[in-house]
Amino acid sequence: MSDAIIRFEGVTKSYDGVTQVVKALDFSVLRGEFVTLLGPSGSGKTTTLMMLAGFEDPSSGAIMFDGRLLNHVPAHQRGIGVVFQNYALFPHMTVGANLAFPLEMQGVARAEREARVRAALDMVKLGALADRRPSQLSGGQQQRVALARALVFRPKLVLMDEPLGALDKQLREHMQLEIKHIHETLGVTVVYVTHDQGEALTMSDRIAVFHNGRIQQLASPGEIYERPANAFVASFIGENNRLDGTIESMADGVARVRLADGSIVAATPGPGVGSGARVTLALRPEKVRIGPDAGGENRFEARIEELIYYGDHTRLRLALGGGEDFTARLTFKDALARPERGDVIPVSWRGVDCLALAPEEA
Amino acid sequence: MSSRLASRRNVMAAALIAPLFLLVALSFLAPLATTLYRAIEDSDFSLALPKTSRSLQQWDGVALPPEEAFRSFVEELRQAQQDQAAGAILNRLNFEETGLRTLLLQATRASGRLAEPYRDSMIALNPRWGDPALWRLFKRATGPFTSLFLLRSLDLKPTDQGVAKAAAQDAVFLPLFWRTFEISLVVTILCALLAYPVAYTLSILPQGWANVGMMLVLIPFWTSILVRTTAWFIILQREGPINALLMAMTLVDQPLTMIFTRFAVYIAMVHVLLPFAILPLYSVMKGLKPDYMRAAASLGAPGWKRFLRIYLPLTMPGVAAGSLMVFMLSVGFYITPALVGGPGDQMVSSFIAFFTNVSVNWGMAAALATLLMAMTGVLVVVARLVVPGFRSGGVKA
Repeated sequence: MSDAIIRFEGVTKSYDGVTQVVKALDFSVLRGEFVTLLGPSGSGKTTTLMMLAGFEDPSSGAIMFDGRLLNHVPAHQRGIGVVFQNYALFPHMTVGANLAFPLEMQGVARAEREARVRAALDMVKLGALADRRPSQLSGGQQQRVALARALVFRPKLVLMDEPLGALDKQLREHMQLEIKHIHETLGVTVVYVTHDQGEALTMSDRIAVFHNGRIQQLASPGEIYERPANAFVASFIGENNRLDGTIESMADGVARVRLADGSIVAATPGPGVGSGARVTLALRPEKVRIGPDAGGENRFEARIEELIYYGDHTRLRLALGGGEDFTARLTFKDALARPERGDVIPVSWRGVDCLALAPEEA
Repeated sequence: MSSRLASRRNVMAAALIAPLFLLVALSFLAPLATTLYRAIEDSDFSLALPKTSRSLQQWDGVALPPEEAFRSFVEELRQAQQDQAAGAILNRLNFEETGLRTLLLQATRASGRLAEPYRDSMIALNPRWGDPALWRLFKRATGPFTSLFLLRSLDLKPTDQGVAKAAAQDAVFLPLFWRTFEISLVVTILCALLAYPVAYTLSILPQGWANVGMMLVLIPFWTSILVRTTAWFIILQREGPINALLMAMTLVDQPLTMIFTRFAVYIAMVHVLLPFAILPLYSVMKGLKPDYMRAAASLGAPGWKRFLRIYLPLTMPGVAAGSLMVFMLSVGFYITPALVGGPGDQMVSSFIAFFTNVSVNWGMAAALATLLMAMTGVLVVVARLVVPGFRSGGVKA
């Protein structure tokens, strides 16, 4: 579980020779790992996946797979399973024939082929549907067939390109768990592309956050959420309050940051920031405490601009530190029972919950 | 909604659809119905010789008809001749049996000398008038409907005993239908084979080049068939550019005969019809998501297997649609075989034109047209059953 199965070494990709869609990519994926490439559209995550699958050639750099250079190996010789966003099930073949197709290509004998197709269909709980056409299946069933087809020929690596994007929320959450379980059972390496951060957090061993053709951070979900490497990661993963300021001084791992309105905030410095640096403070709404005795060394008075009812909590939009988009969550545990728009309330947070990060590149 | 409002809406809807319905009815359904009717309608004889018709219809058809029938036949034929109305009936009878025109003209010319009893004096004029079979033929011609034209289109003829094979010199239509089918099939296959790589190339070219290529397909498509066929007429001539080139390269000693051959018909028809095969194929190929081919590659299929197992079946609906279009148009081709083909390369349409324009035998023209339509219909049904991807306009891609 420790050796790298995939290694990207200085891989760049440009379609027009001018704009680089992927810039100097260096990362590896360990054997058996579930790695998610997460990012907004156009961030380079899908291009990275396409290069891995062999549908796009890198402009420079090397892609190593299982110890051999993959760059010029054609897609059909890579032995990498791919689950496509729209499943790409062959509409003119039955479900069974779809699953048998890769085995046929490998020259597996008919009897074994049938047994393996049946086993793969049972794995995704669709044993009875082998004779149906893909168009006769629901979206969720098609998704399972696509998954089974990508796994039935026992690839060492399976790539998934937003495979759950077309499903409704409930089914998507169910399939997330199912894919996770299949991954754990088979021990296959999975590289998964999504723009849904919730999906990435639920499923992955590690997440690579893509932005502007670069990996901004490659780390475990907890690390990405708790200790984002920069302002982009902080804002892309989960909700975040952002306050711009400058570090006045640093002492004992605490940075004192002066905000635009002159107030001083204690924060934890992120990687690569020092005294005098312009920083973006990142603070999760759930870390903001409300009420006079809530504790936390950063204390402010904030005016409620808007209340949004969410059932299990109420979201407050507050004017604070010169901006009007500061968000806090008001739960039932909080002392303020019935705040109203226009009320000025005390808020506070701890310096350890507030990260001072290098601002996003323009 | 109140039922009054609903009925008003229905009236409105009907009023809106009425012009379209009228157009379809007048320009399509009515001519179609007329054609079908013309193929079986037979009123020339009964219109020109009404009394004779009535008396023949009452006749038992065994012995010779009564004197009454002979008399009214002579009188009405003479009258028709004076009114210049005998042409249609002469054509009609002579078409059923060659020689009857001469027989009737002889009787008309001699009508002044014919006298009571007409039966004997006509038989004296020409013993054929004593043949009950001739009068039975007349009786059949009294209408109102006849199977003559449809049977003759199938190289058959109606007789007293039922249906028999038509005379050898009249039996030209089955070979004609077969030839029409053969030419259309060859043209369809050639078009499909040529269109496939063209459409594929167009579908993968970058946008700019694809537009240029599309123009090259569409400009001939927009050019009149007559112009394009005439161009082939010039190109394929004995003294045309191809022969000039071959001679200049000393590849041949004397000019090749290309014009007025089946070869010329194939070339010109394929050229004229190729866009009809390319365009539906192109749209199917363009609409095919690259994911299918990528999926096949990721599942281990090399290029040629991807083509055979995935691309070809998924583009089959385009092949089917294009081929159907080409075949339907080929079957009705007239100008191109007429201009660049020889006498042995003419198709059913040219005979329909002949019966309409030259011999003015609308019944035969309509019968041929009806059978052509039936043949095409049957083939479409067969193709839907046999060709994969034909049934529902193809698999959902």
